[in-house]
Amino acid sequence: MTTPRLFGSLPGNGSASSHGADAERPLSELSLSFVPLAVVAEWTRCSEAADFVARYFAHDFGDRELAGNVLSTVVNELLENAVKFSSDKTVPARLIVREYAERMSIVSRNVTSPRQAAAFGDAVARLAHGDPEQMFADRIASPPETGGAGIGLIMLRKDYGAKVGVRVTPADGEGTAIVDVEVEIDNREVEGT
Amino acid sequence: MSLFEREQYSVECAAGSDVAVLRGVMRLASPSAYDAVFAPVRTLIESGRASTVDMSGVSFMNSSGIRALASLVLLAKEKSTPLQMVANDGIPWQKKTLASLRAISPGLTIASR
Repeated sequence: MTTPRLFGSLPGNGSASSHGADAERPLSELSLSFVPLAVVAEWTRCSEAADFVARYFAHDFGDRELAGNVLSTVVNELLENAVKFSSDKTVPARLIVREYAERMSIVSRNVTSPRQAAAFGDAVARLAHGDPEQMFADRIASPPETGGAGIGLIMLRKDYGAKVGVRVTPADGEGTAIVDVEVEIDNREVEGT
Repeated sequence: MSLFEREQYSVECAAGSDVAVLRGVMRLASPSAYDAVFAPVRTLIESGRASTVDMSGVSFMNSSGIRALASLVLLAKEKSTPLQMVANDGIPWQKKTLASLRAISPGLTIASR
């Protein structure tokens, strides 16, 4: 049996596959499965999918335009991450978005190499405890493809107060790892209040 | 309007003008993908003339774009080119990102539209 490793500021129950029976029941939920290779072939699919998801949930917020803009920004970053970090771009990746009374939870799942998964998890763990403004400045000053947590996740933390957590589950015998990235945002941030 | 008719983005910087105008949805696949798109802005900044980048019409910019934008801000700082960015405070990413860019380059001025 493989044991997941948890990184970051979440309790680690973020998963693209299910949520526990005793967990808070979401008010609304939407999931997508997509083949990363198809997104690489037509990159605007990322943006179009993000906009669709954002509009779906924005109906539940007072200022739909504002909420839609924030949600599209967050979802797009997670979709882009899942595509870019997929080691086998023919294996479907997933996105699951859940709306709760006081927060939104956005989870992406993709497969990657164990090494990249570990580096990513370590970077997310640092993100949970570091100063996001300083991390943003450091990231800007570093080469673009440095690896680890991308500037997108840093910005979600810096700009929207997002909690970011990662679950890395080894896929036995295949030399790959399943990475679930969960971003949680307070609904007040979504509404800009 | 056709389902696929929506313009994604545009960058306008007329020859001799000190103003570059960005519009639309800027979500290119990587920071390097922005090189060609931002080339006119880079040329403007490298000229050393006081430069303005109006991004108030950019509804979305992904993190790759923000990284590319930050490189322009750092270029202006390196070249001592006065740089102003025009933002729309009603668009969340603009307000938040520009504040962070100003922290990196205090000489950056921001005008709101």
